[in-house]
Amino acid sequence: MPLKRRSKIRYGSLLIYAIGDKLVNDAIQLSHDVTASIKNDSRLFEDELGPDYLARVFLDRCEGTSLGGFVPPDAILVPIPRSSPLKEHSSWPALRIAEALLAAGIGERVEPLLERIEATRSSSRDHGERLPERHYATSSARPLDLFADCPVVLVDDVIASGATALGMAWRLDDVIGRRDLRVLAIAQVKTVGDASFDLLSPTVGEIRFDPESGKASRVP
Amino acid sequence: MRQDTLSGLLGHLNEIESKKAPASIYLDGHEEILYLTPKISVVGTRHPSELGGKRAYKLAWEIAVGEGVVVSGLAQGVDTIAHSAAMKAGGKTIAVLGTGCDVAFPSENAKLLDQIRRDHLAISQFAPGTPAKRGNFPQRNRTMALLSDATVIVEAGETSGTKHQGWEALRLGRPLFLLQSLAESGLDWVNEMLQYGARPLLDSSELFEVLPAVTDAHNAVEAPF
Repeated sequence: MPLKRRSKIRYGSLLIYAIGDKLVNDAIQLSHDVTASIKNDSRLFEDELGPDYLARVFLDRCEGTSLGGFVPPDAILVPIPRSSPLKEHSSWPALRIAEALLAAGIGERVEPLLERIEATRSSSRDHGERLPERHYATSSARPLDLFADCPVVLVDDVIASGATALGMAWRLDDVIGRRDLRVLAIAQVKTVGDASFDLLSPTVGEIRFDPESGKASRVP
Repeated sequence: MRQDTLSGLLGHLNEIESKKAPASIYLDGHEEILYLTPKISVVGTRHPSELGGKRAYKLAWEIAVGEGVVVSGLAQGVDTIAHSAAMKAGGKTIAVLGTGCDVAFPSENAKLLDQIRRDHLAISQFAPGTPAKRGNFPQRNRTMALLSDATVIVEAGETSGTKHQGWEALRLGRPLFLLQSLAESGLDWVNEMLQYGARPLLDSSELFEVLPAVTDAHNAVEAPF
């Protein structure tokens, strides 16, 4: 009998990826540059690559915040695939982030259990599409012999509606069974307009599924 | 002209970039152009259709007017059109060569290369004096993908060498765009690239939505936290 799909999942994020008028709000450009350096694994400040810098920030700056303790020490970090299939030796931002987190002492190990088998539009550019089912249908997961209570943290660079993460969680549930599973994204998309905001904004919330619309949404 | 390494010029390369990065880079011209963003490769066939040529011109012009840097390979056809349009629009261009920086290929582009070396920037991974050799151009195309923030393929046939740059852009995680007309061509390699993340491009404004801001990245940004 197939598992009933989970209708919600906890998420955590560290930074804001701001949406607004760059011409009016200078801070928006910085949020884009920081996020780009994470996605592209490129030099951010001085000579440190983005993911390594952000992993250090996560470790140093999240204690005492809502994000402190979000990743259990025995967690398996599972990177979320890109929006298209990958050829060998290709850039995979979420894998690089997961490896940087592990190197900083966060989580127990990295397991790339998920794979994208068919292209889908990147959720960060697909403002109207929040369908976890599409991500479920275009991905596959390999099983892994894990101890039953081992928590899993899905890792991604940017979270928008949470549709990608929820679809991937469903896919993972199929092969490893229901367990403590949460999502960690380096940045969350937030519309700021011309308002000021804190780039470093540790947040814990929930991704929820609406069965009527088939869409996911993130709170906050 | 001087010689350097890519990591010496651009800072630490990540593991994916290092895999196919050239050992040396020769620069001839205004080096500061290398640090401007966004740098957008405009590439394609050596024998574009009339419409393809116009599209290449328009695209390169609009990139230059938008203060992006047009990167191309000095080949005849789309590359020549792209360099020329960028310069006529008052913008900047980088030529990434499959020969030494002092060797024009094709020879008809000698004046173009001189102008680029004088007023813009020529880059090569091949030592001065290196002639055109077939095997150099796929390597050049991969280096062009690495140096650029994005690649746009304007028009290309089934056997075009431009494909090497497209696949390398995808491997590096750089945005790869195919002009809408090419994306709808039905060519096998085009369909395969779309499956692996290439995006159709209808309007040049889409480039600036997804790429880094117009900046001079030579100076490191101060860490905000």
